[in-house]
Amino acid sequence: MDYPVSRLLQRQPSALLWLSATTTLAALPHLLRVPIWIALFFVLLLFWRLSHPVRESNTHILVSLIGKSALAIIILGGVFASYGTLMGRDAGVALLILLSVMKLLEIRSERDYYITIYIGMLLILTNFLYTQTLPTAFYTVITLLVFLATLAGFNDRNHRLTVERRLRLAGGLLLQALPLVLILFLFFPRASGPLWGLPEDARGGVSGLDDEMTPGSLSRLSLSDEVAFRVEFDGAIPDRDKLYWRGPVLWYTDGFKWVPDRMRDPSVRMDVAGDPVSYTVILEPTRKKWLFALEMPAGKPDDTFFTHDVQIRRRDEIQKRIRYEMDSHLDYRLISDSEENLERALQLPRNYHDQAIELGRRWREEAGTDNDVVQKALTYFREQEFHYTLTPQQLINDPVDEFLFQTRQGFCEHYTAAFIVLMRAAGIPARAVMGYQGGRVNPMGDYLIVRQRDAHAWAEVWLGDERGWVRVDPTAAVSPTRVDTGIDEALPESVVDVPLVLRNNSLAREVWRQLGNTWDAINNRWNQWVLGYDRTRQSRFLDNIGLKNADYGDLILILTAAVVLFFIIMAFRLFRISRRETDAAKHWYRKFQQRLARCGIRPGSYEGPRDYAARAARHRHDLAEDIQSITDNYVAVRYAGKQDSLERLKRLVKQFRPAKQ
Amino acid sequence: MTASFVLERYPGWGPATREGTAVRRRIYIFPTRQGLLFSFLLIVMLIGAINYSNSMAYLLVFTLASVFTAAMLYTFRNLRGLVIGIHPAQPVFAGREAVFPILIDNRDGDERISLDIHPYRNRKSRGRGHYMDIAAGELHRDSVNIPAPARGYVRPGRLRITSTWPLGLFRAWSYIDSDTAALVYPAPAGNPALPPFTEDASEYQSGSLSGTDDFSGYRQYRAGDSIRSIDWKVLAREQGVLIKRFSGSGMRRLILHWDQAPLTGDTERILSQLCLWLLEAEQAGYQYGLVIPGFELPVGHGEAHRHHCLKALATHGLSR
Repeated sequence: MDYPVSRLLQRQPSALLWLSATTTLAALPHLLRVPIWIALFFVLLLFWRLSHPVRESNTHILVSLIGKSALAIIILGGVFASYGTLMGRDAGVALLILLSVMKLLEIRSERDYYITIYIGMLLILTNFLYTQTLPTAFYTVITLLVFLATLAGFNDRNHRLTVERRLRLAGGLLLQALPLVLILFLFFPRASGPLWGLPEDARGGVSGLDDEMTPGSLSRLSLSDEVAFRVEFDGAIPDRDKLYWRGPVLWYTDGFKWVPDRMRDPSVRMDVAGDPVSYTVILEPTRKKWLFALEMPAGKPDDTFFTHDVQIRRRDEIQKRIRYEMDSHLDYRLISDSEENLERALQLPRNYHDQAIELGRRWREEAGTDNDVVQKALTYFREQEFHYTLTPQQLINDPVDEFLFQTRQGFCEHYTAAFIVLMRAAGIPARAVMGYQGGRVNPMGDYLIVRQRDAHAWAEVWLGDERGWVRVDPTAAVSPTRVDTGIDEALPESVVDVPLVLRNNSLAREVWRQLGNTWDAINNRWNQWVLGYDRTRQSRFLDNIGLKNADYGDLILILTAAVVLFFIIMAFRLFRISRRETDAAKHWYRKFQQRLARCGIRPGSYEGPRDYAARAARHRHDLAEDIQSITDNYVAVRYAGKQDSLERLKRLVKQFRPAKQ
Repeated sequence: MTASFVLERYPGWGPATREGTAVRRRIYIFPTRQGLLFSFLLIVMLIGAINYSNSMAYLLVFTLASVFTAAMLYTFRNLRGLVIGIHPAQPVFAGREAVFPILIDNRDGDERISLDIHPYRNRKSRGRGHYMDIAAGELHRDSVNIPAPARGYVRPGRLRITSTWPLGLFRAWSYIDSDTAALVYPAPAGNPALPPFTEDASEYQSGSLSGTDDFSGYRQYRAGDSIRSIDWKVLAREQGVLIKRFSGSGMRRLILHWDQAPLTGDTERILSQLCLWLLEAEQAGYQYGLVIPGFELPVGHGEAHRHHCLKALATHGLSR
């Protein structure tokens, strides 16, 4: 039943305002991320729409066919120019934003109205691919409130409800939904992996190490408890600050992203000392082509090859769990590399990282040897106010400069990227290595478990032919515990930056720190219990509540039962309210009738209160007085509108306890 | 609560609520087109959440799904417990619309928002675009117009009351049946010239013809007299309801006879012609009677008389 919306918009211009508000709320987090022209386009079209609230649709110039096609071409072209593709996360979101505001322009029917709202919901959803913090959750709740209030306002056809009542209704709906949301969240069977291949830029969701490094790519992994691989050592397990599990090596950066070089080169030249460590790796499926090995691998498994930067790669992706034996030298020197490679290890993106490059060059001038520059950088990280945190502030335009000079909060990828840029600026060839650091010994099985949360990135710098490629872990300069004792100890530490104004007052400082720690603890819970609630955690939760080895069938059974229960409780609550007597006088009079009826005097459908009272009094002379006064008061409230009799009626009925005869 | 695809495809099959009883069990509910689209959207979003293993996406999908479920109950509640009374409509002429007063009793219920009540003929029946808000405890009055194409009786038939409040994702509806009917007079049509008068000087000389006739005195008002012949000035002086009488040639009586209608054979056209004459005669203030097969009414005048005659025309040849 389509409702003629143009008429609705005429009678109720606020419907358009509400719709615009919801769309804006949903798009806002994206607008801060997308290229500026998209945000401008959105805002301009929105204002244009609001300044032309109602018109017959075919008189809109902009939404005429030609106009629409032109807009579509501009949009597609613009998005392609900005992203180089129309697929994937970022370009997809950009298109969605533009689509939402375009749809806002051509609302002609009820369906258009709803579709605009639905696009808004997709915008909310896609926001979670970028951020899943607690503030995001709060923001989303507010957005949802406005969404529901918009729908309620649209369906309030005579538009009588106040803004407050709409929001209250929306809030009530959300609150009532809460129990079911919890149950669904806890019991809905979690899949172990994606249903199909994710777009290339879907970093947010992948639960494994990628061969690209962007700000946030590793900190996201650190939420995951999933096992990356397990290692059985032939001898003793080496010290944990030696446990660098080498993965992809990254050379090139565009200012944001670091990518590897895939040249094959079987001749790795390496000086070694001492005996190698022998071990067996049981690698979980990664859907990637490289293997992990302790730095530095001395040999390679069959069917694999070395690259010139000592990655071990396979020809095909690792689709199922594999097991391979390795030998590694912990004491090694990677000597000699080609001129071209060293040249490549100095590449810097154009027009990026100006401040960092300047700093690097200054160090170059101040310091004597390359090693001095490296030490300068590590001291810089150690002595300035840098923080090691899982949830750094968003870096928008220049991840290195903003990190180094503004936010100073970062995870290992931030430190590594910034360090390499500084080194390259100082003329020292440097490259990034991604992999895992550490791992936890399982005392029961005497093996090492390396989880996704142990994902790490570090740097290698070329310190001349004498020393070759040397590993430098800038994260260790900021958070030595990260390497010494592992990620678990490193992270919960306070990362609170006390504002300057509060630093002089010890009490204020303490309170601020306390607040910060509390917030951090809450965030930690959120990360562990909400964001990190995956299949592993779910089965652990099910074990804890006594549902050992619950399979999908059991979960679906639980869910069905929960939904039915929810339905019954909700229905009971809602319908009980509707049965409640809205008329207090009638309520109490009915009670009186019920009590008399128990004595055998039932009211007839033909009887008014007075007739009933007269008949009752004839039967029960002992009650005549009470009956009379109750009836009088009831009549006074009901028919004479005397509200002050209501209290008396209530009191009398409460006292009215006729004995059966 | 019956939420059934079959009922949506073949609505009107489900049992209805009797007029005058509370709408309780016989409420049907099904997602609207927007609601179906919404559930499709939810599935897409859920697949996205699974694929990206995104916890907050899961939360969003579950929240929306729960709200969807709760909204269904809200929609259902918006109809539940109403008592709908359909009252007889005033007689109308064929071709017009009968207006059936509707009384919606919400004296036991909470506030209802944006209800639409409309006649239900088939699944293409649409709402009126006129929505009712009923306050808690209100006895709400409204009406439904039913076209009356032909003489006889018109019934409101099955009414449908619908609600999509609060989110428009579900539509709840209920059918109300009633036995109420409205009389439909034939549509007046034909030759407006009256047939010849029957001169008669009987005692029924109470016509009020034209102002040119001489005033001849008063008599007491009798039921059936035209209100136009009442002497209002006398009435205003509180001297009783008196009828002005005139002498002259005005004591004419008109017997409208079936056979006088020029179009023999076609019953409906004869009835329309007689109807037109009846109205003309009443308008002009004549005394008139009606003779049609199976029915005869002596001359008379006034609202009640007119209604009797028209009713005879309306029900001519009908079993009821």
